[in-house]
Formats: sequence, C-alpha cells, structure tokens
Amino acid sequence: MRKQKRMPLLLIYILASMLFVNITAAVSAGGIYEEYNTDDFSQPVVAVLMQGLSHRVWPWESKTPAFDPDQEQTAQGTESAVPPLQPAEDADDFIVKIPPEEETSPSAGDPSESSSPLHPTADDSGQENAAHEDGSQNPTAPEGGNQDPSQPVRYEFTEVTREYFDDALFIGDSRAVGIQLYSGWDNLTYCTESGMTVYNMFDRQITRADGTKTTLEEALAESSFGKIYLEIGINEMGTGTVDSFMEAYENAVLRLRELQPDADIFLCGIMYVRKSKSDSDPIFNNPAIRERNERIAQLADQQTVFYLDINEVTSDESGNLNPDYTWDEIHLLGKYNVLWTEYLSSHGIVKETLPPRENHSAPTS
Amino acid sequence: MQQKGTYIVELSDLNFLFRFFPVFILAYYFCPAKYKNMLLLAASILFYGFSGWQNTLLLLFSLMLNYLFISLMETRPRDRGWRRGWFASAVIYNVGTLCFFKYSGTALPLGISFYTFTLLSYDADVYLRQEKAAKNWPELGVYALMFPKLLSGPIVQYRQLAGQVRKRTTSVRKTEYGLSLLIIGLSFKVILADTVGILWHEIRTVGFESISTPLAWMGAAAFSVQLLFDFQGYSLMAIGLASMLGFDLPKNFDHPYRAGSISEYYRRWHISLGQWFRDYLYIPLGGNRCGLARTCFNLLVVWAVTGIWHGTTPNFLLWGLLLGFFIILEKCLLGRFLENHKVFSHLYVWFLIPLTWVIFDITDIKELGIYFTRLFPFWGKGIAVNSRDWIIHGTKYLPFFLGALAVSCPLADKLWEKFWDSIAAKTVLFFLFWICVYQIVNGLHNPFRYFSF
Repeated sequence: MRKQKRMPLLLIYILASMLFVNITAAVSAGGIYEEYNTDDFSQPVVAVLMQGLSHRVWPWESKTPAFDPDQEQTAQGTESAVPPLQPAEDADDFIVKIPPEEETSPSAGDPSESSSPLHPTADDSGQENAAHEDGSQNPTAPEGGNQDPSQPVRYEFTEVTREYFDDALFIGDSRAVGIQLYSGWDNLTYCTESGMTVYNMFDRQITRADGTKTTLEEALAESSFGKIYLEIGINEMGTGTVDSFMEAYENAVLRLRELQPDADIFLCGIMYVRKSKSDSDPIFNNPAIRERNERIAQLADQQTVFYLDINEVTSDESGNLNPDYTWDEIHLLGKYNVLWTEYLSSHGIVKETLPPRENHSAPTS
Repeated sequence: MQQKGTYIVELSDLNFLFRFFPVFILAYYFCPAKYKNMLLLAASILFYGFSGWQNTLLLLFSLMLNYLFISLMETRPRDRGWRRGWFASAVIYNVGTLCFFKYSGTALPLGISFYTFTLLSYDADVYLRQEKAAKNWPELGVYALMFPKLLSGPIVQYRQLAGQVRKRTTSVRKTEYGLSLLIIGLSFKVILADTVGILWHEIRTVGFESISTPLAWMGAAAFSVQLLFDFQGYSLMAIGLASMLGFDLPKNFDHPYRAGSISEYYRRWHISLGQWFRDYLYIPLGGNRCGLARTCFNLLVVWAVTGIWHGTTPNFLLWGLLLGFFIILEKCLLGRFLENHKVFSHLYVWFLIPLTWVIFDITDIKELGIYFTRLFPFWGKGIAVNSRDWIIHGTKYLPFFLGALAVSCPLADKLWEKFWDSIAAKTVLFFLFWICVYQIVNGLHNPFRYFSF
C-alpha cells in the first residue's frame, strides 16, 4: 500500500454511477421499461434497467408505438427476433382481427383476411373445435384419409422407425439440449440452446454438432426438412402474458412454415415441472404451463401442424413431472430422455400421398 | 439460494448493495463516534431481521444469555468453580442450541453455526483471560452480530476484535480499500463461482449415471472452484465492508491450492474456522503435547467435529474423518516426503482435495457411490452417457477455469498489491461492479441463479 494521499477515485466512480444509473432507471422504469417494473418494492429500481438491458432495450430509446402497449411488444419491437411475416400492416391486421379466443374459429369476417398457413380453411373450424374439445390430450383426429375430397385430409399418429427422423429438425431450449445429448439419437438435425425462446430462436447463435456456429434462420435456409419439432416455451413464462407469448409463438410457427413450406411441424407442449416446484413458484408452475399448452394445441390442424404432449409419458397421476425423472425439478435426468424418443417414435405422421400444396394456403370456401 | 419471505440474506443481494448499505454507510459516517456502535448494532439486527422475526428473537436471546452468563462469571474472578460453572453453562447453552437446530430437522436459523461459534469465542476468551469481558451488551452485540460477518463469517475471535469494537477509526482510504475488496469479492462470487457452479448444477441435472469420466473430474474441479470463489469472495466482501466501517478483519483464505499438503491446505482454507478449532478444541484437548497417539486422537476428534459442524448427514462426517486421516498420515509418514517432493506434493493436493469436496457436496451416500464409479470407471458403466459431454462443457467453461487460475497465481497478488490504488485498477473495478450487478439481476430472474433452461 502506498502512503501518498490519493483521491478516493473508486468511491467517486461508484457513487456517481450509482446515482446516475438509479436516476436513469427510475425515469425509464415508468417509460420504456414499464413492463419490467413490478412496483412491489421487492427489488431496487436498478434491477428494472438491468432486465431491460438484457433484452437489449436501451434507456434512450423511445417507446415504440405498439398496437397493444400493455403487451410484450414494447420489448420485442426493438429486438427484431421475430421478423414480421408479412408487411407490417398485414401483421397488425392479423393480430387485431384474430383475438386469441377466436383463433380456433376464424369464421367471422372475411375468411381471406383471417386465413393463415396455420388455419387453412374457414370450413375447417368445426372440425378443429371437435378435435380440441379433448384439450391438451392427444389430438388424434377421428377420421382417417377416406374423406370428401373437398375436405383436407386429417392425419393420425402412427408408429415410426428411427429412419423417419433422418430429415427432421429439432428446435428447442435446454430441455431439447437434453434430448440432443442424451437420447442417443444423432440422425436428426438439432437446433437447441439453453435459454432459447420464441422471441430469440431465429437469430440465436447455435452450436452445430460439429462445433461450428450458425443461426436457426441460416440452418432453415440452407437445407430442407421433412419434419420440424418445436420444443419451446418455458423460458418465456417469466415475461409478458399468455397472449403475447402466443402471438410470438404463432409468428415463429408461421415463419417456420414460410421457410420450410413442405415440412410437417410438430409443436411440443411444454413439459411440466415437479410438484414441489409447481407449488412454490409463482411463474413456473403447472397450471400456467397447462394454460399455454392448451393454446399451443389449438394451433394444430392435424394436416401439417401437429401437437405433441410429452406430459403423457413424463407426468405422474397428479399431473406433475414425475419426481423420479428429475433432479432439478425441471429437466429430465439424462437417462430419461429416452422417453422422448419412445414418444416421438409412436407419434409419427405418415402421408401416403402428399396432399397438394394449394390445399394448405388457400381457403376453399 | 434466496429463501421465501426474506429480502436481504446475502451481501451480494441488490437490496443490500443498493438500499441497505448505502443508506447505512451514510448514516454511519455522519453519526458521532459515540453512537457508531449503537447504529451498527441496530443496523445488524435489522439486517438479520429480514430473515424472519423468530430467528431474530433467537439471535438476541443467545446474545443476551451469553452476555449475562459471562458477566456473572466475572463477578467472582477468583472463584474457579464459580467461573467454570458459568462458563460451562454458556457452552452447554450454545452447543445445545446449535445441536438442537441441526438435528431437530426444522429449518436451520440463518447463520446460526457462525454466530454460535462467535459467541463461544467470546465465552472462551474471557474465561481463558485472553480478553476482558464486554462492558455492556451492545459491545458484545457489535462483536457478534456486525452484519458483514454475521451470516457466513469470518469467525473472528473475540481477542482479535475486542479492541476494535471499543475503538476504531474510519478513513477515506480505508473506505476506498474496503470498497475495492468488496468489488473483488463480489466478482469472485458472481462472475467466477456462480458461473462455474452452473457446470456442477448441470451435472446434477443430467444425473451422475450419465456423465463421462472426464466430465466427472471436471465436475469435481468445478465444484472445488465454485466453493473456493464463493466462500473466498464472500469473506472478501465481509472484510471489505468491515474495512469501510473502520474494522481490520484478518484474511480468511490464503490461496489454499498453493498448499503442498492437506494440513497446509486447511491452514489456508477458512482460516478463521481452523483457528477456532485449534484454540478452543484442539489445544484444550492437549494438542500435540501428550504423545503421538493422543495427538492423532485429538486430530480425529477435531476433524469429526469440523465435519459435523458443516452438516449432519453422514457424508460430512466421512469428509471430516477422511481429512483427519490424511492429516494424521502426513504427520506420521508422508510429511517429510511431501516436503522433499514439491511437484508431487502439489499434485497430491490437487488430486485429493477435489475428491473430498465431492464427498462434501453429495449428501446421498448412494449418489456419492455412483459419482465415484464415474470418476473411477472400473466398477460399473454409466447409463445414456454422452462421451463427448466433457468437450461441450469444457469449451463453455474453460475461460472461467482459466480466469480462476489467473487470479489465484502469485503474480496476481503482486499486481494487486502494487496497483490496487491506480486509476487503471479502479476503472477495471468499476466495470466489474456493474457487470456483477447486471449478472445478479439477470440471474435472479431465473429460479436458478445464472441459469436459463
């Protein structure tokens, strides 16, 4: 230690920056960072700023005029994680005109406006509702392929072999990382990363099996896939609402559809957490997961978009993640990832004759 | 991990760093010297109070009882039986309370292992006439309860701190130095320990059956690094905070991984606890002055108790006894050899210590067995093992392992001593501070700190 007199520079640095950051945070907590502000005095206001920064929302940005200011859009607007599918005004239309409750029956109004690759026909709505009445259960359609030719074919799940997955792409968060690393299946393409969300999935850096880096966007442009599995949704639970999540989720699915028009898309419901976790966590709990899963299941049409629910095999009788299958209450132990491969193998979709593409995009009414 | 219904439980909590401490330190500096102790005591009780009022009542009760017993003991300084009686009562109360909470299965009151030992140090030092009894209960309160060291030490002995409790000076320079230590400690904990700790967490998440042998060793290293930097970081923060309040606390860690034997390792690891056991258990038992057999017995007792102090599950006892065994082995046989073979002695420490930490952390003996079959894969095979897992994790965590190594090398010490007061160092510390704050927030966001699914 030197004896000479010195300025307490660090003290000044820290004090000044704390003051500055606190003021900035306090000012922006009511503005651009409003959605991170819990207002419950449980954390200092600086936390709001730091959370905003982690979503790459800068305090000097002005609030983007969003159509629904109460929702996530403020945060996502600046992130460009989910590129708009259509020109901006179409996207607005799409969101405004299909409120969540009506998603399953977009019959009101002009069908051409509300139609999307996820909801091919207005006529279909009746059938869809029928299929969804059994909630998040296996949405197997009652009919097979012998239908009125004007009705689109609805497919049922069947047993498939491992080769079926040769042209599959598996996208997902850390739970999917577990499948990639411990299921023993290495014949499919994985785009998995811990912390992946529907908001960041397309431009997040992903490590390929050979160690090189890519983004999902690039991977989807590079090659074509027969099946795409999307296992995502738990990381998103901390921010936004179910509606804002579903909006981003749907956009992500639409984007996948756009980039891979011929692929079957399998939407995997969020796996439950263990009871002890569910009972104690205000955010990551099974009722909230079920709520989201029900909404995800509604996106399935049994034609090109299918809903899978791993909870059929991983949960116990009380509807929680089986406590024997997990250590951290959220992820499957390595050795139980085989449950996934078994489940996926029994939920393949085999299409003897590929229905022509037009059936999917144009309304038939 | 943060408990439910508590707000400030850690020095690395934002509520502490951005609310409690700034307000307190301002009040403290403007407070007249006469009332500084009262203010510090009140703040410490408030700090602890956030962990729940039942715990706080227990803490205050223990404080008062110790003060009372020792004051009564000192009313007849020449009556040996009288003194012994009151001292024994105090010891029985403290040890009894600690054992009760450790074995009753109820939630352990926060920091009870630490403050009980601190109070015992007071009792013993006054009994052994190492130090005069506290003049009033707030004086003892400041010594035992001062918030920087209340929850996780260092367990500073009363004889080391009594003088400073009565009289100490704050200075701008001490504050500046303390702040530097605080930031270093925070960075150790938040940037190194918590990050490397994720690897250990991931290994547990995957399950021990499914890790490759290289990953099992990497996991042992990761947990060792996590534990060192978490604890050392916490100690540095406590020392730094205390320095800002005018205290000079002795250092608690002195580069344990530079040791050439297990016994030396534990003279460098959690020094305050080692000294406590030496002065209040090992030496009263006779230390090394009653022949080799008795020395070995004393060492085993000390290490068994050290194990139990850390936790009541059998693995802690196993951990303590194993360390005792190696320390005895070094005393009787290995010591000379290790001194003459420097390189081997370091390899010996680096090989054994992580294994003992694995035993320390895996409380389930069956799980522990599985982990050892992965470390030494001669007895069994794993299930669903990914043989490349260690490469995936290795590349992810290598920078942090290297960082831990870099700040632990002797050069880092020299640079710190020479340049801690330079503008460059302060600029680095400034950025480290804000990186830590960012990390704390965005880690807290997730149920597991610094861990996203």
